[in-house]
Amino acid sequence: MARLPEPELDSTNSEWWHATSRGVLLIQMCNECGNHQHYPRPFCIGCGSSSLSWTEASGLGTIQSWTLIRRAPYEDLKAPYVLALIDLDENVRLLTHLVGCGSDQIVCEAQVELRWIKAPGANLFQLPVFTIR
Amino acid sequence: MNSAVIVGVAESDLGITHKSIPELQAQAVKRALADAGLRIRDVDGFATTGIGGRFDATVMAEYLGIRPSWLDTTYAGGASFEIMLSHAVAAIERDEARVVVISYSSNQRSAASRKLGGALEPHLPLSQFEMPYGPLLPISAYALCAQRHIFQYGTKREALGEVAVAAREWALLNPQAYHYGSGPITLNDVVSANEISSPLGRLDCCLVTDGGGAIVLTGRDRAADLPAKAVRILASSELSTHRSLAQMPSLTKTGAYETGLRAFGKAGLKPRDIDVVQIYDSFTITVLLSLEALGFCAAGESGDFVQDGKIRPGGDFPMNTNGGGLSYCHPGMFGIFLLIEAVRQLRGTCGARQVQGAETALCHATGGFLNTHATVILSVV
Repeated sequence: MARLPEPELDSTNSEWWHATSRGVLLIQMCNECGNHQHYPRPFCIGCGSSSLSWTEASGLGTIQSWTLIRRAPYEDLKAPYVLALIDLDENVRLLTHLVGCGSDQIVCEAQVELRWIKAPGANLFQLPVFTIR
Repeated sequence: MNSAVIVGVAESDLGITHKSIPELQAQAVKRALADAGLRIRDVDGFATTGIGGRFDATVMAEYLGIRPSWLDTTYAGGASFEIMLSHAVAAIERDEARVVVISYSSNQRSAASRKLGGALEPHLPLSQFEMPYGPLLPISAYALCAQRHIFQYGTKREALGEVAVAAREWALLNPQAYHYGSGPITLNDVVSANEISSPLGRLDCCLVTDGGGAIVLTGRDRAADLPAKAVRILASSELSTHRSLAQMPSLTKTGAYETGLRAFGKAGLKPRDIDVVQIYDSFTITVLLSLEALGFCAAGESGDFVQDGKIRPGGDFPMNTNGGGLSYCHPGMFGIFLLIEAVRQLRGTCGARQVQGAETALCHATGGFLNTHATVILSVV
């Protein structure tokens, strides 16, 4: 069985990944129209502007949906685990994990807050994950 | 204008074949051309995709010994073939091609080529930002939609189960179906089957089988000279909405809202005018979402819609009459089989599963994890 994929960096996403090693969740923000977007791109998909900056996420959000996974596809991931789509208060959505809560506690629209786990591979990066607050 | 019609359809061997991808595809193409009353050297337009290489249409054209002057290798997952049909119709109308073959094949069951976590493309956002979390692909993407639908509308787990139960009932009437001889399943079987990615379990998932299929299109003028019964293409539409799981515009409202609206508009028909429906059932939830999006029922009401045997044989909404991806075959990209079954229903050649007097059919294909959508409406000539 394969191992979890490591993040592959390019010039657009590298700052995002480096911030994770400091425990900072960045979101790209458009200087022209104020749109927030995730994942990072070379221009704003709201208005097309290339004038973008980074803002630090509050780390607060709600559960859009979730699924309890019973079989892990990678040897370095242990099932069961909870995959979730989280809507951050900054109006972007992330695929992530819910940690530290039993599946009987999880319900859509529940409020969550940011935690970090180590990213796969020999690097200092972390993955943002969430727990019910 | 010389409008395009479908004049030939065929499957290759299905199930566990121990044949190669090109062998299966050659078989499907040869059978579909025989069905149409045409020869391989009549083919001047060719489309295929997803056969595991890079020059898919070119490689298969060489294998088949043809030199197409129109080709299409659109890769849009299971919806590819409905999208190719749309493109082929335009090519025939503009006289860029006279005889087009659209085909597909996979030996994913014999070759055990599927990966639980999906295909890694390290330079692309899905692999960079989502695959490090280990989603099971595609099932977890659909599970997230199902969970949201249940939360938002109070959809019952049994409603998902009914889609699988009905598919099995249809498969029991189709000698080509993988589960033809397997006997029926119950709602309890589906609900209590091993959970894989909650709320979906093993029997909510389509099969993993080998198989291939092909369809042959030509202009209506040429079709008049052929022995085969032609089927009209009233409308087709396509849409790509997203790829990454977190980029899906809505977990409960798919791109079929738009492709359905456009296809019905072009055809001048309404959902109630359709006699037989083929909806890609990659997972049970796919059918519920598509029924709502296509306007066969209102948002959130698909769970009630499928109750009381409505979608089973003898029900008043005949759907996935070959047994679908859930119980007939599923060689990875199912779209071609929706078209094959719709054509057979309109020709009246479906035997025990024939929908009596079917004159209109709708196919809705989805690709990836509800990423791509294509709706095709067909009718008798």
